[in-house]
Amino acid sequence: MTTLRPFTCDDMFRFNNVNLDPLTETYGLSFYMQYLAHWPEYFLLAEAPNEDIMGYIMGKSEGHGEKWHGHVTALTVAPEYRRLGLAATFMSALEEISEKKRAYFVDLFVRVSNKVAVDMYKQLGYSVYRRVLEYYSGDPDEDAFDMRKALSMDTEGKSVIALQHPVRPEDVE
Amino acid sequence: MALYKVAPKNPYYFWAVMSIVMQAHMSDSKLSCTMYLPLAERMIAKMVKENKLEGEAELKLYIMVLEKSGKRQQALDFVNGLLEASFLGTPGSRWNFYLTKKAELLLRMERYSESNAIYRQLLLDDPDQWQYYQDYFTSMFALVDINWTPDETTQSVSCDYTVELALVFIEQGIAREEAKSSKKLRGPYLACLELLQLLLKRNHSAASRLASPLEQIKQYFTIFGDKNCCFSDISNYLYMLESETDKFLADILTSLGLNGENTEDMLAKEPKIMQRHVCYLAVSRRLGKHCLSHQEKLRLAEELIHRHREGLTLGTDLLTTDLQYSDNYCLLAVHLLYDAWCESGDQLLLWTICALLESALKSSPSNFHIKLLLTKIYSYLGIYGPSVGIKLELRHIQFDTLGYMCFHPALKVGHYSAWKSVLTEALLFFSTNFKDTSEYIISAYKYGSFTKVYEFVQFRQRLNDSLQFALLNVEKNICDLILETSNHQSAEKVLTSMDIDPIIDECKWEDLRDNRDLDVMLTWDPPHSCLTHEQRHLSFTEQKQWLRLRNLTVRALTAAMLLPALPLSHESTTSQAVNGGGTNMCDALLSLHDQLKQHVEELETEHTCERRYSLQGPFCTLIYPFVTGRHGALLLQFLRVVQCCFFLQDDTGKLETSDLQMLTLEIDESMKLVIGRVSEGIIVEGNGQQQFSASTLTQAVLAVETLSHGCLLLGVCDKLLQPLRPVTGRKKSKKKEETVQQAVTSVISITTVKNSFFTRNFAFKSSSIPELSNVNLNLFFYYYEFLPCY
Repeated sequence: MTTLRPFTCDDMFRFNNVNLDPLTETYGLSFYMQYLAHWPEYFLLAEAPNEDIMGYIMGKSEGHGEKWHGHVTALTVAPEYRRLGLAATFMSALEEISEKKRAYFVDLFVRVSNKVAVDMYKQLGYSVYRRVLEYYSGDPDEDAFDMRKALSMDTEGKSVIALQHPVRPEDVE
Repeated sequence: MALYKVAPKNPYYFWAVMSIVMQAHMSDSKLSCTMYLPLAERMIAKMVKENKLEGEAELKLYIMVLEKSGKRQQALDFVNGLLEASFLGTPGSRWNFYLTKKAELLLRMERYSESNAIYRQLLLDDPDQWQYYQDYFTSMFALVDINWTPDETTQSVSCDYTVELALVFIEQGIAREEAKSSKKLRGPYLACLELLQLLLKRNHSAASRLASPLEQIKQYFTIFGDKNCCFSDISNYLYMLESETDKFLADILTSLGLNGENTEDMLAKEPKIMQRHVCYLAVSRRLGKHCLSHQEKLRLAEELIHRHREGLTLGTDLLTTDLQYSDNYCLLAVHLLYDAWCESGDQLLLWTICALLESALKSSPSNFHIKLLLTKIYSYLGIYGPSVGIKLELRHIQFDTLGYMCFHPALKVGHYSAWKSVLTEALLFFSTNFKDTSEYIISAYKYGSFTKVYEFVQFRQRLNDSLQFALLNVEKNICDLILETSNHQSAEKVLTSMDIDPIIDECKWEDLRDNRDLDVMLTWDPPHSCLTHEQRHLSFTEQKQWLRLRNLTVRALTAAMLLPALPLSHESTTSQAVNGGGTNMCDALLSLHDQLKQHVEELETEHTCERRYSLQGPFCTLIYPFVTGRHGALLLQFLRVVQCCFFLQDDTGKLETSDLQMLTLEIDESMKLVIGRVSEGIIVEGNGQQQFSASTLTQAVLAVETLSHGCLLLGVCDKLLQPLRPVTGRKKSKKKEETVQQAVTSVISITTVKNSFFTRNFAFKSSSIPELSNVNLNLFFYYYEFLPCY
């Protein structure tokens, strides 16, 4: 049972139960505010009946022509609210908004080691489009899968035909 | 607008509109309602008439302006006139702005039947949206209360205007879930519990039509008990069980099959059963069943620790970024041991808790609940070092919301270098807030996200008014005065660079905001033991009192430092000007002294014992050790010595010889008390064993601060008396000569006492924790052999 609503600035004072998870980064204010200013329709939050923040999604739309697409920047669910299908709900929302904007596909980047997330996205209809070498900086740097799902504008499914070779971060638009 | 006249594009026009709306927000309500909002409304209405509205943001802005002007009917007419497709959410979608806005407006306009009809439809499309259920029930009960019935005109509106209709709607929702073979939604079941609660509160007879609280909560547990959220979903409804609490718990335990005689049968063999068992234990605690005798608490804790250790075997395949299935057994055990410590004061229990949590953290390194608890318990023990190894890793806005978890533990035990580095990082975040957020206010204009403009401005203000920010600023000043000053010249330099105004209090007390996140830690306590609204308010007040104390201290030190020493000649105009400035600062010092005195007296009256909030709540401040350690009195005495030395420059004879002598004696007494508290030692006898006394350590920290301020003030006295010393060689009044001599003697004697304190206690101040607490470490090692920091 959730309340799905747009994320607001005040929610940043309450999202610690989500952000203290090690796979969830707490970014500087400018990161969140950039998304709130430019793509507020993609920045959604799920709230429990007791007003806990269950999770949130941040996305954007970018690209030109047939590369006009929705992008999932961040998707995170608090540990105590997992296994409720919330991630699928968020992804469905983002896809719906992207469809409305006549995007050709939705894409996202995920760490190759994040098996749980990769399997989840596959179940939601995403496939690996390409591997991006050393996308995530760290000690050591880690590769990312660029996963995609075609939307109705892409009638031939061209956007999700997997590349045969990996790419580097600088090759990503 | 000038831009729009040159190039008539919508964004330019709406920037002007938004600026007017912002002026409306910032002005008083009369001006905003009579001038700004109507102007904004007319400007947009013109565009509406000319059919020039383009994006969803412009539509939403118009609706917002109408709502703020109280013109809900117009807003509703406007929304009705729009196509549903104007908004991004598609019909039937759960983020359907078009329908939700209509329903919201209708509810506020008390057109309940229409509002109810929309919420009903929205719930049919999305039965898991909690907000819709709340508004559906609100509108339904409003219709019941006015005995509304449909007439000919409203017959097409399908709303639930009686309790019976609502019952049918909710029951149908549950029936649809029951018929599903796929994952069930929690919404309809929780809605049924909510409706039952609302009916019981109204003493409505229809409550008996629904399944009883016992049956409903049991059913919910059966379906969703293996989900982590089950406890938080049902916890607010548990009170409805009343006399059936024991039956409920017994039935659940039986259904789990974990109460076998055999120790092997006792353990859960699968993660889902384990989760159900944890939920059962959490509910049991919530219902007050963990209010056991001391021995029973320890026995139950031991059982839970065993379950935790055995449960780790089920999670061997989990990643390090996952939480272990059995972690909550450990947390429940810790809560029990903490309760036992609260009752008995046996410090060994706290050490046991630390050992357990460190061990659990090794198996589940990503569990931040373990980290938060450990940080708390270490602080209660008066330890900071191991907290660094816990790596809570706060970033950016978490300095405001969770900073209290780091700041207080470091400050309490005087870990100044760690304290300073965290302070610096946190202050950097606050000081860049204005620059960061301003840029995005401009972006919101640029991208036409007009509703965000006001939100960003409010957010920036909330951060700027943060209590944490104000506290960090003043604590940084005090930290610098202790760490960055080695003589009077450097103290002068440091204080003047801080740019503190002793005369004007720049702190906006009324606007301070408490942004601390006090809900992040897990609790399964009964409602009366949880952090209440009153306790949050009490904590906020206490933090402000501490801030005021530090604020007055720093301003008084600054005022003292800015007291000029008079030149030898009193006749020149320059000296009169200096004298005039000196009088201002002296008045400021007097006023600050009096304010500080009054504040300390208020604190002494109010804080008669150490405050303790719930384990999940905030830390208390250092007010209690401050007042019991007589630090306020000592500081005030030092300030009066400075005043005396200043008056010596004045020929009006404000100073009596006996004043300084009295002060010297008083300071001597106070220093003895302060030193006495520190000399109590950090190992004390308690509960028949030796225990580590965190409070003595805190007294030492406060003593270092107070005496550091004292050094600074004596330096001021020295500076004030310097020009007068040659006076003794001249033909001045004998009385004045004697007074100065006595002043000098007094200052020297105070300095001597202070020096002796530092000589005896320097090793204490600068030693690391292991050296100090050798005795107690033996106890700790008994329980935990491999604490890395040692």
